[in-house]
Amino acid sequence: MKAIIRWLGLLCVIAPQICGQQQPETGTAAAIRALEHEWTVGQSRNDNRALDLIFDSALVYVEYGKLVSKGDYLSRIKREPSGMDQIVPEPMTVQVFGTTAIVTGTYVEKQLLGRRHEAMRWRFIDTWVYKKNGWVLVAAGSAPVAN
Amino acid sequence: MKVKRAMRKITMATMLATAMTASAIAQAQSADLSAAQSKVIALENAWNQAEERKDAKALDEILDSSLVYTDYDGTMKSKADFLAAVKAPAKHPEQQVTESMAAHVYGDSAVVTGVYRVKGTENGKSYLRRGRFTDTWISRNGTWVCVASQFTLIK
Repeated sequence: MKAIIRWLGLLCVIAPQICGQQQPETGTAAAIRALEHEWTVGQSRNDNRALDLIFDSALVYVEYGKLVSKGDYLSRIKREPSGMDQIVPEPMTVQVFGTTAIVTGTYVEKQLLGRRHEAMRWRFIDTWVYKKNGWVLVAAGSAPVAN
Repeated sequence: MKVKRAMRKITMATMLATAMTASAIAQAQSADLSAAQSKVIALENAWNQAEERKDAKALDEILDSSLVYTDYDGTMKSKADFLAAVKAPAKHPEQQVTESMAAHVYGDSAVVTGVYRVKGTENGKSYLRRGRFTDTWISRNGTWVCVASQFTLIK
């Protein structure tokens, strides 16, 4: 009996740790992270259709200090040859406030300039809002991280 | 014949009432939207004035405790970091002006974008920066607070 109780006690201590390690992130934060990933993939593949579903029609995007609308952004992505820019996402944080989510993090942008590759780290803040058909990106902007 | 005429009148009256109700709802929603836009824009102006006066107490009310702030150089600041930077004795802001501003309201959240110019001295050196900001506000029990803010220099 003692052995069983001891074994059960051990299981109670270990199980949450194992579960905590293996259990994937669920809920809104996970959904937002997945959308951020979809955005990166969509951009790298010049997949305007995928990006169109993720971006709100009133999206405000600040790129290099310039305000870019959804239409401008999508047409730029369409024009750009695939694989010119490589976005390497780094860890991000998701904060959820009801139907609004704020994502902060950094990414490295690798650009092919002539024959050489240049890498630059950016810090971004994205705002997602839950609408009828799901989460959509309403605002995004990034600032270069000073070395 | 009389019954048909009466039915037509009832249908017309119902359609008119529905249209009027829809219009009233749309007007009320539009008024709410415009009130929210005015509120967040007023708060943006209050933020500028508070920063210029180094009024951390006023800023404390405008900024949410979970604020994430990204500065022009990519530095990320929490609310405490931001307030400490505002209060820093070596910083002397002279002017904080918003050149243009637009607010988009999405229910209980709002995104404000605009162009902003800051001028002053810090550690004895003068600075003049012009950049684009994007602020996200959320309404908590009717009070708007800023939860995310970003400032990027215009090149």
